[in-house]
Amino acid sequence: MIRAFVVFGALVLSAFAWGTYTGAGYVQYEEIRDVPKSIRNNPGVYRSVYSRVPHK
Amino acid sequence: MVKVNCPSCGASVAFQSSVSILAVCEHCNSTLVRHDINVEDVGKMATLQIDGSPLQPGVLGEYKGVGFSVVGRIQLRYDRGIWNEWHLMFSDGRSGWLGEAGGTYAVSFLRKIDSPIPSFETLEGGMNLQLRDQKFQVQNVESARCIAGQGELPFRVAGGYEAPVADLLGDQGSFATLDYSEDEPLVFIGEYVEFDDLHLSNLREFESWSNNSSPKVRAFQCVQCGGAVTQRGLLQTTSVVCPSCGAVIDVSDENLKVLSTFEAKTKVKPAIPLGTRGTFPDGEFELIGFLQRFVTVEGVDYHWREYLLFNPYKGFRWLSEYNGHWNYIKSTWHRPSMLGDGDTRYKGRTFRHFQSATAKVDYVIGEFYWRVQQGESCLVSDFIDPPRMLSVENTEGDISYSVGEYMEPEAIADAFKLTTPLPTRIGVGATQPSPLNKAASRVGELALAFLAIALAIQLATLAFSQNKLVYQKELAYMPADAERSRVTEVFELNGRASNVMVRTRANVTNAWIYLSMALINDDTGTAYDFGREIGYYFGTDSDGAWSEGSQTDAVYLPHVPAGHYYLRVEPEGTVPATYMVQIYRDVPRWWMFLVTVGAIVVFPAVVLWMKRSFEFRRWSESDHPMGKFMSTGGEDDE
Repeated sequence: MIRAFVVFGALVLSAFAWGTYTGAGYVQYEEIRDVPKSIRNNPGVYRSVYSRVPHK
Repeated sequence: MVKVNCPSCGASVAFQSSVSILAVCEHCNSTLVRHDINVEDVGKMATLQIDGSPLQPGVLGEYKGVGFSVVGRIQLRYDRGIWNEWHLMFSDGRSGWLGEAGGTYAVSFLRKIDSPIPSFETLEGGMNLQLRDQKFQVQNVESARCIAGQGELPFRVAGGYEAPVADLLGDQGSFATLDYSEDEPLVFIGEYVEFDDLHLSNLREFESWSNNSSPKVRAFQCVQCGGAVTQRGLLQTTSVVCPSCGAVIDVSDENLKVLSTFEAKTKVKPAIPLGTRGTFPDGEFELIGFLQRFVTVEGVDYHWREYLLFNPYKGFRWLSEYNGHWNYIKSTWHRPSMLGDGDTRYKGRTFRHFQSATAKVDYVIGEFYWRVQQGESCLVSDFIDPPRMLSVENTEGDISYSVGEYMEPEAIADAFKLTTPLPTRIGVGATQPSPLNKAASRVGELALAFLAIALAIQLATLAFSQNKLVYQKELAYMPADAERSRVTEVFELNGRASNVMVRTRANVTNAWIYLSMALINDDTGTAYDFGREIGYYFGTDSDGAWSEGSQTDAVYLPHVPAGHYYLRVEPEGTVPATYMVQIYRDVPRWWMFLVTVGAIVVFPAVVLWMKRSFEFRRWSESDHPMGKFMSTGGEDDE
């Protein structure tokens, strides 16, 4: 039991330390690669994944 | 030392102690009384009754660092058997007494008491007395009879004289004896001591105990049925039960009088055979008696079994067994102090009251140090401090105390080298140590250590995070705009890959605005695409003012590498609004710390729950069952 708790605690603390270091968190987002540079000049051409989310 | 010749037989008789005035000639049993220069033969001393005492004149010992030798004794008969008072000559010149019977040892000294002593007639059990700043309680009042004297003694003794005495028990194993056999009561004050603490030598040897030979028994025929009866207690036991007819035979009576007869409906077979010897931490003991007792609670009889163990030097011990749980029990003369809440305190430890009930004997075999009788009952109160138990037995005002300690069945089997299985353990024993005690303590320590580490990580994060505002801009939104999308200037995110907080604030009231955003890496073309809605409503109704939502929002994008970024924002809404966008880099957060704390605490919480479940089961058969906050689970913990 003690050994299991030591292993468990080590895993939890490792995850916490790693998550804290890398700024881990949960948020709904999409990572899209190779977005064209032209967006800076013509932002309207970009089609956001979240632009059609139903809302009030 | 003074040596004289016996006037009767001429043998040399020594007075080793200067305080001795009487000596019994070893050769002719004449009683010699010493005067200034002469000795007087006052007649033959009565014959000592053969007993099983391990002491004898010439025994050497030590008490509180001072050596002594045994120079004589008075043998007394009490209602419960024979008691010896051995006269001690200490190396520092003092004279003392070592009371001994059935493995109980008590050292005492004659003390002068200035305060008045109550008369013998006014004494009764339970009465409190104070002698020389010490508080005592009267335990026993009776008239003992002197059987005979032996060796040298500090006063004149003759067999047959009556000695009205009262035994008093004090705190911490202290005791006092009030001897009313003379005009002025004699007061002896001392304490009970352990055999091993006296470091005795030159002890009497018992054939079957001194040379590892097999147990020796005395065999005789039952006077009631003629069946074979054996006695193993070496004259230290008082009654023997015939295994054939259940007759309780008084072996202290030369005619082997039958005291009573047990009429058991069913015979109970001991789990350990009588005559078996076992090795325990305080010595080797032989099983000589077995009895079954029971208590009745709410119409249900609960039976348990007790095994009497014997060692001629150390006296008696008990093994009790209930539902496969064993306790090794020893009498104690340390009177516990009762606490106000019903618990008791003994040798610096608090024992919680477990149960009190009237216990009755319903089956016996073997031999005992008292005159056991069928149906004899006593009020038993058990107090526990697992793995220890303190028991108080009250038999018609005669109070005795004993302490027991839980023994694992495997340890019992090992002690007796048993090959047959012992009763299966059922449930949780009253004194069974919780297997989780050590683990729970260790888990608690580890949990604290883990929490400390987690806190240290969190504090380090708070101290060393950038938490830096890298960009902010206020933008405007008009629903009628042909192009709603906006991009910010390029800003730089430094350091390791860490989070980015995008905080937005919009001046919407009773309206909403939806911001479809993308944090785009200008160097690599990687976009982090997400959407947030800001809505804020307020008003009043029959319950008063109300509000809903907020004009601000924050989102944390994880693990964003360093680089040059800009933000694309595409608002959507029904009303015009201005909104502020702020970009923060490497922002410390608490949620992970709280999740970590929760995860760490879960483990000890489970262990605590299991530990409490164990205690719940332990106390379920006590007078104080715990609240039914959980299921008791299975019964068999094997």
